[in-house]
Amino acid sequence: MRLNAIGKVARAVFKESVRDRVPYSLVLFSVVLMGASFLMSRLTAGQDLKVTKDLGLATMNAIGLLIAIFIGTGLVSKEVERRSIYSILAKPLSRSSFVVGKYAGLVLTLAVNLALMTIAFYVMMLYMTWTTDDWITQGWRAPALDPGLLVPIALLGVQLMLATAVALFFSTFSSPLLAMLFTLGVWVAGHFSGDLRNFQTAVDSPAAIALARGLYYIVPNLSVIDVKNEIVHGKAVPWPSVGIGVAALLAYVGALVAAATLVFNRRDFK
Amino acid sequence: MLAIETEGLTKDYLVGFWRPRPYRALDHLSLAVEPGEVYGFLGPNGAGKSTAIKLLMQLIFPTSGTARILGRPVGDVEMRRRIGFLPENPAFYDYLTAEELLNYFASLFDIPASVRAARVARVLDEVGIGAERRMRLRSYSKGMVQRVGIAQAIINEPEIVFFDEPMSGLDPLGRRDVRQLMLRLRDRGCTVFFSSHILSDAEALCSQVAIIAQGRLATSGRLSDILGTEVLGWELVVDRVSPDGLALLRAKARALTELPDGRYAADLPPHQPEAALQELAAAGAHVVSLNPLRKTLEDVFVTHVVQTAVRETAGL
Amino acid sequence: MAVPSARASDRGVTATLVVLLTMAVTLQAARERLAPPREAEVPALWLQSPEAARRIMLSFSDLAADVYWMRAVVHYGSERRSQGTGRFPLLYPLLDMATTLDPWFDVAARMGAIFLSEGYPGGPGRPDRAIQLLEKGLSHDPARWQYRHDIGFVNYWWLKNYAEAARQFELGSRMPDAPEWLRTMAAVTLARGGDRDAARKLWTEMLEAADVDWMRRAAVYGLQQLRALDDIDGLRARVGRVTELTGALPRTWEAVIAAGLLTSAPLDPSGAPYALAADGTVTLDPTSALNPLPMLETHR
Repeated sequence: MRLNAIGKVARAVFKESVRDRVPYSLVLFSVVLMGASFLMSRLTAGQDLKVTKDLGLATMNAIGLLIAIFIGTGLVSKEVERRSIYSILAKPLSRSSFVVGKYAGLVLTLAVNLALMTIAFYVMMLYMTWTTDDWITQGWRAPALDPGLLVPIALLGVQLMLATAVALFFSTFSSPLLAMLFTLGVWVAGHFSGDLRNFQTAVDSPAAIALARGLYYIVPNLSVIDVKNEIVHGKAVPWPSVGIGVAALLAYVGALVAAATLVFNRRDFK
Repeated sequence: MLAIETEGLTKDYLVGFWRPRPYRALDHLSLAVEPGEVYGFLGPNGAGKSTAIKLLMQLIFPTSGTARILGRPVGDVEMRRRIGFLPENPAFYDYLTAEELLNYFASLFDIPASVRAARVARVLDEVGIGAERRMRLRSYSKGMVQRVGIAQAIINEPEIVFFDEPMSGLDPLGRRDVRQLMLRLRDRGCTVFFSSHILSDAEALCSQVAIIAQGRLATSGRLSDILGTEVLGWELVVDRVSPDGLALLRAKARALTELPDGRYAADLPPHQPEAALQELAAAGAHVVSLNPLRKTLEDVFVTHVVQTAVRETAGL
Repeated sequence: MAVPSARASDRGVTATLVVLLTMAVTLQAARERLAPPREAEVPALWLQSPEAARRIMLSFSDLAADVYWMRAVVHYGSERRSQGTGRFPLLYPLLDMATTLDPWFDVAARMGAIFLSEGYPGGPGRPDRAIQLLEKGLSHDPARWQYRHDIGFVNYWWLKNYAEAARQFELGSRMPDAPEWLRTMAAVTLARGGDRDAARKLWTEMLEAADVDWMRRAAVYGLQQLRALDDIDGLRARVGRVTELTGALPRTWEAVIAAGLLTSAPLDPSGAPYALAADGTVTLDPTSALNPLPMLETHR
């Protein structure tokens, strides 16, 4: 497996996404933010900043997830389906390099997407700062142009890396539709994982509680790195918990990509 | 060193959902291809030609048996720098232009950027893609895609090319271009291994062939050996025949066909036709052409395919 | 060039399309007029359990909290305008949702402190609910002095529980970055109970610290009510003086003006005239927006 080859495949994936999707999602994001903020100010009774931040972060989350799932589940299966896989695998490129390259390309696409959305987001915050009276801005628990916002955005990036890895893994052997459902399922489970921890409050059976505990350790925990609310309210980020949580998720990412290459290396392309 | 060799290469598929049964797509294929040849891999549809090529490209994995290309096992990534592959009914990334696709593939061969642009341009010229090279593949006709496919197979100046049905989708001009390209490749020292069910191409191009039917190798070897030099008869075309001459012709020929413009084609037996010619000339006939009839590839092909089918049904 | 027959059939299809669409819209309008859907008595709360909502919203609970907040704002505004029900049935559930989905949503709890406690016509008159919300906020954010301040405020202004108010102010004053006047407030409340000056101080501080419009307006309103109380005291004194001077209770403000104790008919801070009763008591005009006035004494 060579980094050189991985880089080339990654760049090709990025190019494809640029020609297909990136501009549209950005336009959508900007329109949602702009439109919502104009409609909202009557209704938020002074909470404009909080609502705009929440909306911006939620939209980035949704769009990023959609991209990760829709493109991720087609990464391998689309190539197999349209048979472009035959010519590329005959090149001096190991199958592993190909799979890892595809993954890296989609992560690159997501990173660029997130970066552009972040810029649009900060521009929106800047606009809010300019147009809001001082007596209101002094009461903001966190400033509008808060560099701290980059933290939940970066952590969102980690979440999306996991979603993409799951999508890629399923894409190596199942149809795009099934892969989408599985990926969404894992994402939902990752956010529910916190409930598994406190299963004993809901259920009596010790076997079920033990199973829930076991699952809690195995299922990747996405809610523990969700610090959007902390940042929006200007509170401290629980770094030890978040840091280790991120490390665990990155380990999962590596495992999933490795699993994907294992499956892909053994596949017959009839 | 052989360019390509396989030994007992076998591929079984499991067919059926509830109780999968093995289906043998390729049965103990053993081939030896000398370098620098044009090797025709022939067979009817579904015979296992594509299966064999895919096993060589390691797109699928063999159930048993081995294969080597340029002395290396088929999985060897470095060896692939020296080969090219054109799949059957190729498809590529249709959001790219031909230039971009070739550039991408050329980069995978680590062809340096300084050389790449010129090489891409040259190869596209060679396969006959003109100004369309800057349009996206999405807009290409089947024939143009086939040409791009050939281009990407030779972009790295390979020692061996594998063409799976290279003529498919091409009009007669296109097919002539590809035939000429294949001969040019051979002249450059490249081994050309191609599969086809179009025998006239094979006869024109190949020095060696293998015929495969129902997953099994029926025969293989030098084309000249397979066809032999034996003359099986003579085809004589005459005109301005007098009724006497016609009667003479009818007596000597195994078959007689009337052609337009008062000509006749006669199928004469193999032994020396000079005597017959003299008699005809004396009878006032005018000879248009005299051609020896030899075993055609089609004959060989049909014979072997039928034989294999018979053996199959007999349970052998 | 389209074949003529194909073009004709295209026109036919387009015409059918237009007709059907018009029919659909007309039918919808007709249904609305002839058989309108039954409107529920109380507008519906789609999700009953805040905890369930929190689970369902996954990583979007903050945004969901904002939605509930906006619904609360709209609900409050529309209930006030309709001036009929005065019950504000959804105000607490919506604010409860918002503060459960976002446990640090202090503004929602603080809005509850004022608008849930307020009685008819300004609110549902449920200071107990207000305190519930504030205590919930406190459980998630124990160092936020504003919660203690607000609990103390509710006790002071609406529940008249001065001992409890003083206790809450005192607890609040111990928190990091609590303002100095909170400790003073605690002391004053403890010493003097329901003191108008102390109340004025509370509202003034709230006005100064207000960083949202509705909080500012609530503080102005409270101060206006206190002004009105002062005015009434002053006006009663003048009425007493006129009675002393003329030997009879003045019937109208003209009499007081004639006695030289007023320059014009007195208006309360909201612009409504003060009412002079036959027995000499001064009250707000029934239509005044400052009704009902709080019962607070002035310590002499």
